[in-house]
Amino acid sequence: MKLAQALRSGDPDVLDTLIEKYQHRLMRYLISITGNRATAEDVFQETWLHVLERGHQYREQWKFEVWLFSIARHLVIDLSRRKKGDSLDALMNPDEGAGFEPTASTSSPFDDVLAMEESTRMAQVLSQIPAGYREVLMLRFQEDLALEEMANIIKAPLSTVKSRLYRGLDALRQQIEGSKI
Amino acid sequence: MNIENHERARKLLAARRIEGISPIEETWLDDHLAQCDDCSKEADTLALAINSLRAFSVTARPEAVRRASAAIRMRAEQRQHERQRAIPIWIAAAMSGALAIFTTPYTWAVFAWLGRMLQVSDIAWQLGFLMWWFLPASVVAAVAARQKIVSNRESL
Repeated sequence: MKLAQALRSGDPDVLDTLIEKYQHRLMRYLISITGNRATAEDVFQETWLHVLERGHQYREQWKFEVWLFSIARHLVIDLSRRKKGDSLDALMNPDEGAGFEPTASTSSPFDDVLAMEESTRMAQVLSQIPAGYREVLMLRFQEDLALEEMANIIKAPLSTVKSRLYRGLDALRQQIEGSKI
Repeated sequence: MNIENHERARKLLAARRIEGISPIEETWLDDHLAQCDDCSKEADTLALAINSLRAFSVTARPEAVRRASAAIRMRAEQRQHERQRAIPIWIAAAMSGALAIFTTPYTWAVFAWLGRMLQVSDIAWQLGFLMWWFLPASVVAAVAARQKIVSNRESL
């Protein structure tokens, strides 16, 4: 069965398969824009519920992750609006939550410690970068999305995406230089 | 080496990672990096920054995934239940519509007869017929539309 058709059917088994496949990418994207795991987890669930409810709107020619990230982004913006005037940047305030949380790897305990330390340092670096830049950096260099796909997700012209990427990359480079990862 | 060259190299380093550069620019950049230590260091830092970003790993916690999956199953069941509940309503609505269509000529005749009996003008009993025909459906449509708007607002 094609994905669009499967989504129209609203079958929870299909959703389970999609969650299994996209869970980490969606969570990574949500944490990149909220900067907070608790908020990201709430939106994670809401995003999948929206996929169930609006599955009939999905078109086969779309890349699923682009559609998925668009829904997630819309929900984050909605949440920040509900928080009365909080911007996307305010939502990722490090004082508000844990910010980026590193993951434990499945290799040796020594590797775990090293990976954890490195991830923690990177999380600190990323938390210093504005959410708008962090979002495009993650979409480009972690998700490997094309510029046009990114423009679709963030609902902005291509020129805006590019300029955010240039500024974001510059900010990341400066932070890396400062932290000496 | 002049400042413009360093500036150009800096821009091309980022452009190469973001939108790609032409083969001529690529050759120029590689030549420049081979001769310029500062720009070469900058290229290394940029590569390190991007590699660190690519290696940065965040995963979804199993509890969060389980919660989402359970919520989906619950909502899917609700939707199934709502769909099943709606079937008799649709059948009743279809039957009611069919009945209304078939009985319209008779109802029209009854209204005409009542008009004559009560000695009211033709336009009065015809308006009465229209009211009888459209008012209940209009009220139901207005209520249904209101409920839809409210439920859409709540789901956002």
